[in-house]
Amino acid sequence: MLDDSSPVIARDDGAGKTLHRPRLVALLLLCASALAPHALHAQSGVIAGTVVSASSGSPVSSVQVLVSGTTTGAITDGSGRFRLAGLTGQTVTIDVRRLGFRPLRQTVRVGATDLRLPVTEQSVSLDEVVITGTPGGQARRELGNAVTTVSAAEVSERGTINNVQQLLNGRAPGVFINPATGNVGTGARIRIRGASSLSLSNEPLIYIDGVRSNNQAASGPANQSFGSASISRVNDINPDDIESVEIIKGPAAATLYGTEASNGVIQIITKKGAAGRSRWNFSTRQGTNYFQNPEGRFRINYFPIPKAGGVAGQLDTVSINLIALENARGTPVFQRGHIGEGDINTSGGSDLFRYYASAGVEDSKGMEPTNGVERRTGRLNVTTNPSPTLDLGFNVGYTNANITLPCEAGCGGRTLGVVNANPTNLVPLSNGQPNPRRGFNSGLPTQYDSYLEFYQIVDRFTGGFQLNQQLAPWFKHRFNAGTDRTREENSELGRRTEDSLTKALLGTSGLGYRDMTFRTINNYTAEYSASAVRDLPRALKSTTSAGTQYYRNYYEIACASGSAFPAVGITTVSATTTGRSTCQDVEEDATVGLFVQQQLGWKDKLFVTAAIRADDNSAFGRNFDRVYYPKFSLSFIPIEGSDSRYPFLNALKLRSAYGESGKQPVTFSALQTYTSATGPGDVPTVSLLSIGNPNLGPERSKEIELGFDVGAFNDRAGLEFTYYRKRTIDAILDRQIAPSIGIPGSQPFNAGSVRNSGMEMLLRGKPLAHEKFEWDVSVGYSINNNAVEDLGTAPGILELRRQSTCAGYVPGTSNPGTCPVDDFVLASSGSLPPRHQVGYPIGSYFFRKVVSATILANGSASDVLCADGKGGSVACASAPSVYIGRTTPRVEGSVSNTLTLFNNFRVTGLVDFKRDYVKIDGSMRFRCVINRRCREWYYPQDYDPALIASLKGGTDALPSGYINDASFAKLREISVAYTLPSRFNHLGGFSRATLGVAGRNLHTWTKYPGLDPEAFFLGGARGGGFALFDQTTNPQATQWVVSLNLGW
Amino acid sequence: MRHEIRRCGAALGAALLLFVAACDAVKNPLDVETSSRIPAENVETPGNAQLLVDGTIADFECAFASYVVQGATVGEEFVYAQQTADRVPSDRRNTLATDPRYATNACTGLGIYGPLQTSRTSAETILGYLKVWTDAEVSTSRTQLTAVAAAYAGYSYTLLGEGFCTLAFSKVNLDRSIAYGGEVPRDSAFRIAVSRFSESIAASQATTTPVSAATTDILRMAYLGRARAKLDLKDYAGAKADAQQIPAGFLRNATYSGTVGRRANLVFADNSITNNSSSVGDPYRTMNDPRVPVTQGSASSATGIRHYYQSKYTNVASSIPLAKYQEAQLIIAEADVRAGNLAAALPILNAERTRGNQLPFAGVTPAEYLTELIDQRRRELFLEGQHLGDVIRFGIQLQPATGTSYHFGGTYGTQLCFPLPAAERLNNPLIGS
Repeated sequence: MLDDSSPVIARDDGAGKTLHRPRLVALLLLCASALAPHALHAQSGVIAGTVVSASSGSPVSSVQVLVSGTTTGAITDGSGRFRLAGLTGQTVTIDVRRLGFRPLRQTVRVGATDLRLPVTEQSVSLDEVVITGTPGGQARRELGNAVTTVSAAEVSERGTINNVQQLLNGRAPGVFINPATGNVGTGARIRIRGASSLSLSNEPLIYIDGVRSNNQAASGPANQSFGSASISRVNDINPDDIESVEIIKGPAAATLYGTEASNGVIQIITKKGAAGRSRWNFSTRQGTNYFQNPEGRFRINYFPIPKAGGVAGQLDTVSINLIALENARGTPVFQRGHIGEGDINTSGGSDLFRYYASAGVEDSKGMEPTNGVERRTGRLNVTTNPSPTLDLGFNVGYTNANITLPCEAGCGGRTLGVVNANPTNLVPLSNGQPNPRRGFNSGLPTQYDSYLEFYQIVDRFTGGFQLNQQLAPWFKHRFNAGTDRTREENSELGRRTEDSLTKALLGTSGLGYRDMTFRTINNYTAEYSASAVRDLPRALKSTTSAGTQYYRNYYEIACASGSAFPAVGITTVSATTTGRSTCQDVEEDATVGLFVQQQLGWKDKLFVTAAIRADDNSAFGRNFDRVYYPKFSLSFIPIEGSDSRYPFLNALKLRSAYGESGKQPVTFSALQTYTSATGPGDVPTVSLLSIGNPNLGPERSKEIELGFDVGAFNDRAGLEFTYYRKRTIDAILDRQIAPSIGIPGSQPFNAGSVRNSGMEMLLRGKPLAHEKFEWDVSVGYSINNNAVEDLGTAPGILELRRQSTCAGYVPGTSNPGTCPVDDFVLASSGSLPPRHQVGYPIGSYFFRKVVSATILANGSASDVLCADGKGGSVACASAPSVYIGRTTPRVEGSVSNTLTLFNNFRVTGLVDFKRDYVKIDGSMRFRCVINRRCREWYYPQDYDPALIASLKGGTDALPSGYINDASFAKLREISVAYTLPSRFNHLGGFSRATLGVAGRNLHTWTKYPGLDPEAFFLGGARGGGFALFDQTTNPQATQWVVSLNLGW
Repeated sequence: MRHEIRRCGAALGAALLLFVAACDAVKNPLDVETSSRIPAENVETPGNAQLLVDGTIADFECAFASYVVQGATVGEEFVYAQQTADRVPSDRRNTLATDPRYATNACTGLGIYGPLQTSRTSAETILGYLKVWTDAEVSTSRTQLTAVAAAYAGYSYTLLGEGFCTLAFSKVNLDRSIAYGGEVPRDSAFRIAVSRFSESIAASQATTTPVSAATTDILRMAYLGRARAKLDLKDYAGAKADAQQIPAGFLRNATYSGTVGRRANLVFADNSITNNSSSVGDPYRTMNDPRVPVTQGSASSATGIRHYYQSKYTNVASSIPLAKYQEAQLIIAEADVRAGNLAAALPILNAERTRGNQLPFAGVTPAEYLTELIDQRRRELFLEGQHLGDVIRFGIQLQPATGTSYHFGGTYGTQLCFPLPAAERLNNPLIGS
């Protein structure tokens, strides 16, 4: 649809043309850089414009724009802008090229200065460089394993995500993101290729610009009793500062990361400046989040109350829809929380010095008034090139946040108050006054709001320095060092209250209490690696790499608590009058690793890699010297570019990899230790604490990975497929030691074995591609099969119990305080624990399962039979616990569609789904089994007798009725974005302006009967590494935001 | 080309050299702070000998307090009065090996098998080191420390023997390897106890002059402990000989304080005017004996059990007698009764009755003397961790009797000594399950 006035005369996207080799591209880039300044000053024929991503419309920097057949060219700056001068003639043909994008050839009119050149990402990008642990990373073509890259800049601009975990959700096959509560500021559990450790953390490692960072999935105050610590540290990072995220999924790829990397590695790469004039970008997101359709989602409660007009003792069953009642009186239970974010950044520089600086603020409220986030972030990334062969980078990031949380699972939380709405609390008082509880479970939520305050204040600094130097044409090396430092203040405050009703509710708790916990977590990273490349005879190329890494983690906790304030308004621990206590503890661990890697390449088509990594760790037993992790990989590219034999294929890469990595034991677990004690006369002394295990070594995970990458149909379709099989051996377990040894506690040992296998598939396609209409689709799908193979001891069953070795944790107490969730991987409800059992998925639920029953006239269950585990049934009293289901999804996937209209208007939708796992519906348990407020209790004839038998079988006696399939599909994201045509930009002086509307968590398809199949306790006694327990946890909030992005 | 290959090989060689060299140099960077958990190798040094002995006493005193409560619960001194299910078995006298409370709980949680084993192990550990370390290395008198540690080791063995049906004694060697011990009868514990007390006595006697009061105190504690162990072994003459070494007025306490929970007098914490986990058992409620001070309180609204509380220990810092002159006298009296020398026993029994505001003893037969001795022991040694051993040793018929309905369901059983815990049976390779 071009006319003569259009600057674009003709376009050739270059499909099917042979790609330039990196070396040639680099040479041309250098030439172009050298020539461009001269041309600008010498000639008058000019073309200028912006190179943008065809899929997102965002500017693309570092793109080479060359006049075809000449060396005249330029590189786009951080705004995607370029300018060529000294041109002659009416038109000129230009070639637009960048790694990872399809080459574009286009004829344009000389004199056009507002060109907009859309470039399309390649379906298979073989020359994209990814981080692997070797200097400068490696091109994808060399890798025998899959590495998933998520383009954060593109996603965050749509306005649909609030944090890093939401960025990853549904965009990386095999990466399971399980969001816990719908409160703003809270986080999720991350599993990559399932769980493989029986007793240690299954969270992946997190690196920010090469610096190992705090990856604790659950922190925060104990706001939810057994479901506390719902804040994830990975979400401290401002998504707007992230350029991309690379996910290394398992030992086959993570060998060079060594011990601790067996759960995978997430590399967060922040934005860097590009040469060119200063570019400013401002973005803001304003909107709301809310509890979608609470009136339709909360189930109606029932309860017997004295029958009006009846004789004494006669009861009548009444029901209550509390949401409707409160709406009718003009006091909605939940609020619409405001979402507010603003970010501004600038970038630019020269070939010598480049920078990226940003500042961001967030002020958001949740669906409960006591939930909110105030976050301030800042980042400065500087890159300098003192010489053409030396590259220095400095990165610093800072986050300060105050996250306030409601009490969801107790103490008057709104969801708790409504789930357990009590009809008897609607009955007027004996004096005829309305019942002040208005039907809530206990008090009014507003009463608790004024009494309780839970918050976390976090200060986090991440800083790093990188040196990359090309010492010789064949030799380069890299040094990287940095630190990630987190300071948390976690506070639980119960104010003293004089309100008579609140006092009546709280009893002695109404005197108030305060529990403060301060945590310091420091991670230190130092790495050095070098790489030598040589061309060998017969078109062979050798790349030899070696390096060493040093990691150190420091953890300190200090706490103070007390109860009973003497007067209203006093809130400090020092002002409490009873039960005062303090704690302080320190833990440290360190790892030293070394690796050597040898790679042989043949004609850029075949790459064979072998490597070995050696690690020693402070937590290894003294009889365990060091551990070696080998790695082998093969990459073969039989088709690249046009091939007459396979005309529909653009690229085909076959890959396979085998690798090992590990997981270090818990700090101190190898040591026989004493603890401090008080002796006779209160003198200080010591007492035996733990026996340790001098032979203790790391868990070892061994993984083989096979797969292929295909680009087809002129790069309009791409498929990545991976099969993996991972076996974790020497899994660390705890065994009870013979008490006659005289040392308390248990002993860790290496014995268990876990197998994970599955497939991952990522399909990208462009079914329609017209001048003014494009349709991009992306489908991700993964399957994870998981089984415990060995537990080291008969009978092959390990009930997960509460335990921790974390600092400050008192064994046997019910409250984990602020111990990191990683230390509670075995934690679970004391009454409904998951179990490791040989032959079944790790951390699954096993209970007696009711299969049939008879409902008697009085509503009780009779003839209750349970599964006997052999296909038959048996009286439940003698029935065994049978497999109910796994707690991590077996299947996960997503479908994403993007429609681009007129190059400026984009509509994007993302549906993700998880299948084949179960979750405890603790709300049902609480409401029906314990409080007996469900309809099933009073009208049992209307329901499945097996369900009634489960609900009436006593607390946790027959729980199979309230452990449900949690499979779901969710319309996760919808966004509509409009980029103003460049002709309007001059109105505001902008180079680019995009306006968008985005929705999140809009609809759920599920058979799960509770409020939300996703909600669960992330931390605390019913959270941890495996348990999937939801009790009155706020569901994922529906969110709508309007976003504005301005660049100039 | 050959030159280039050589350079490539040199690069690889250099990398390998770096790899190998660094592998041997990685230990120092792995030193980490262990400020809250003290590695055993750091604390088990000659300079810490006194610290370790103090730790042994601390371990024992906490375990002892727990043993007194659990022993009182099995015997008739206490009746459990609350609704915590895992405390019921010992009160109902049907403790199972799988019950965790007595087996693996910490002493503050009223565990006894594990805590007494810890007390024993910590004593044996320092005794082992004191044999290796030299006088020059140990700042405090090595023989004096040996005397103390051996005496507390002896008491740990004695209590384990008196409270348990069978036992096992494993150890961690100085090289951290584990030497498991098989299942042994109670007498084995008493024999080891006699050995440790003898070691203590020898060490005290070897202590160079001037002999301190503390050394003398430990010496007498060891004599009386050995007498008790010999009594358990039915070596009445030997017991009498040792008990005769105890002068009037001797008292060795287990000490407690209110500073930390592990130092608390758990008897007071379990039963007192402010603590009603237990109620004093029926035989002790109305003795009108100043040695058995018991007061009637109110009935619990939750369980209906009336609260009778002792006032022998008035706070959590009250000491519990571990060894005292009256115990020695009663051992002598028992030896005399067993030997048929009733006349020799009579003054001791009457002295005890005087302490209890009782009239002089009027019995004449050996059986009456033995019954009186048993009664005086339960009065004089009330809530001092002696009665369970006496119940087993003398075959005392407890109140309420076996088969009587238990207040929280079921009936009273016959299990007096605590069984070898299942945790021991399952995890000790020398003991079959």
